[in-house]
Amino acid sequence: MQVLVIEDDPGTAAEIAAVLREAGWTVDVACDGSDGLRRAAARPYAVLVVDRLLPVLDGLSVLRELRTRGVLTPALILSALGQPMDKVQGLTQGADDYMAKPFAREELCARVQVLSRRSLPHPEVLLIGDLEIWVKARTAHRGGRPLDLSPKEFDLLHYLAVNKGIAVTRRMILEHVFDWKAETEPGTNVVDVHVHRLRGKLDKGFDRPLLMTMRGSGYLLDAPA
Amino acid sequence: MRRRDARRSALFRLVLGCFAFFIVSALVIGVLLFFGFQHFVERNSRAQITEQLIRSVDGPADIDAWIGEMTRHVRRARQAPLNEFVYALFDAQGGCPTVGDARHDLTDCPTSTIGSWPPGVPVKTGWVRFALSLGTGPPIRMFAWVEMLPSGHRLLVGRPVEVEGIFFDRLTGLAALAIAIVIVCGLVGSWVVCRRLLSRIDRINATCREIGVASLEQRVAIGDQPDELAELADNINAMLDRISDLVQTLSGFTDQVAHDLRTPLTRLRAKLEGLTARAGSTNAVERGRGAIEDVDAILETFNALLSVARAESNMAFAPMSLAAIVENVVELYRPLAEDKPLKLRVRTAPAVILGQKALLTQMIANLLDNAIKFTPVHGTITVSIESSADSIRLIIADTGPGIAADERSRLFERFHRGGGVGATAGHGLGLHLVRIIAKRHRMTIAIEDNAPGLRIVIEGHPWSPPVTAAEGERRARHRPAPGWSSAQPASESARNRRWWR
Repeated sequence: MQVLVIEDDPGTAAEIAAVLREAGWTVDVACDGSDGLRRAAARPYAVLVVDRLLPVLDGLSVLRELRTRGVLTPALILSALGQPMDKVQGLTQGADDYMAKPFAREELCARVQVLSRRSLPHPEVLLIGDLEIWVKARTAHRGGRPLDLSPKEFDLLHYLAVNKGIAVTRRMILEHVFDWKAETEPGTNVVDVHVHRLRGKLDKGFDRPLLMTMRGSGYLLDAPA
Repeated sequence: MRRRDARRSALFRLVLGCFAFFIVSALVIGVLLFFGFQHFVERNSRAQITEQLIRSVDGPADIDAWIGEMTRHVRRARQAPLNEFVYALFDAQGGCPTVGDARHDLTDCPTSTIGSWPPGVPVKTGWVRFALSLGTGPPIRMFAWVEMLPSGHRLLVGRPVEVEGIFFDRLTGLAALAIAIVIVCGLVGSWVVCRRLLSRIDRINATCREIGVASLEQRVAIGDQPDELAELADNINAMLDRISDLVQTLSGFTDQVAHDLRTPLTRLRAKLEGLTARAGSTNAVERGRGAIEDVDAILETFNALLSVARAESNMAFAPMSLAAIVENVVELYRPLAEDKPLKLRVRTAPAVILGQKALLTQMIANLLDNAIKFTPVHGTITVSIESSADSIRLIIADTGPGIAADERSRLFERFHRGGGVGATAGHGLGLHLVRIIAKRHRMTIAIEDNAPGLRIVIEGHPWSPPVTAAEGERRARHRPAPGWSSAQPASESARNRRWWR
């Protein structure tokens, strides 16, 4: 699966490429906006990682142009401009996700992975091991028994399940499950407590835990091999 | 007080302008009166003179009738001691006309009261003014009618206008003197009147200059008259209050920032030193991880800094539901509260305000986080919204230890969190941020006693959508009698509010 990175600073580009290659992606790098535009339009990439401040043509203009041409490749903007206003601007101009620099490797990988699944169809039922999630009805069963989840707990489980196998970070959970738009994160680890509760309801009494904590990265939902 | 150059005082120019306008009007009126009066007097003279000629017989052609007429006038004039009129009828050469058979010379001409045709008087029909010498004494000013008869005779009837002349001369002189006095008095008076007002303005200017240079504590004196100047001084003081507020907030803030940045940086440095000293030791990985956490802590502080800066400058506000934001944040923190355990109660009401979602989320989260941290186990935290037509109140109350009354004002200034590894640094900035975000949203923060515990009340104005033209008209028809326009939302210090509010 191929990723195109559009970034003008060679050091940063090399770093991003290294991180993604380590995770198993094939990475191409473009050094300015117009080169990136040309390449993204020429070949079908899985995900685009775009910097905003680029020479010749800036990141948002590249995305706008691509969308006008019907190229709907999911795009992650990685930019030093990290204020909520900038994010809103980015997301309304054709980006699918937005990350501020400096970035943590695991988070970058996780977000790229999440984006690469975007084009997959959305099933009505999610099956992971003996866990069954009915999306429309908002119910979850494990081993045949229904799970008593609060609405937020279901949202969290759903998010983890949709991104099965990807270690999603606290930040991602805050943004997508709790609609947290602020620049800074909450002082205490509120997300951890939510996950801990969910784990209690999901994994307690079962031999194989589905919800795992990856130290330093985040949380992951998957059936153990 | 600086001596002000009169030419550069707008006030003085204004007063002078009024005065000049008054003077010009008075002058115009005076001139009109003067000439009007003069005209009246002249008309009167003409009427008197013309009256003398009415009794002519058969018009000017009849020279004998004229001679007879004039002879009668002259005889009567010579007999009446108080007569002032002058009559003269000379022939074409300027000599005495022949009366019947008698020929007279000029010295006792029966048709003339004067010895000869007055010098300087043109021989032409019309009104003339001339000066006449009657024997001894200075010449007297005369006003007369001269008529050239077809036979060549010349007729003159006139009267002295010396008295009127003297009168008008005096009048002109007096008027000039009066104007001069008025101008001088006006200038002096204007200056005296201005000075008092100018000195008040000068005082305000001087105070402002000092404040700009020295300290922000000084305030402008308002004075005892409730006029525009007092209102200006009051407004300046209000501005100074706000500036002083901001400066104080900022200085406490930078102290906190310095601490929050230096602590993890110092630790980071130590860890990296340890790493470089003993590269390859088993501790390296652990130290490396720790170093990364320290960097994250620094980044968090940096983010908080940016948030604060942005909160002060960001202009993009939109109407949004405060209730929705509160519910979101409460759901995020509920498990944390319930784990402690604490009871977390929410009571929202519909409330729409003009704001920024990210900032408001941050503010409520900081307050709630704090409440959870400081309320002991089994306590209760209540988050509620009270909404009315012109005020929205967001209340976060806990049953914790509370804060002593005298400590409350310092709560937002110097919140000092005992730093610990692993917890998010920059959290000490949390309450600074709360204060700044509230201010940015034009909301006030009040810290009260929850008896027991702490109660934080954030109050602001609800947002109402702009009215259409038709709706605006409808509202205007039902508006009560206009009074003073409503004041701005109260700032936190309400010093010097006086009569006009």
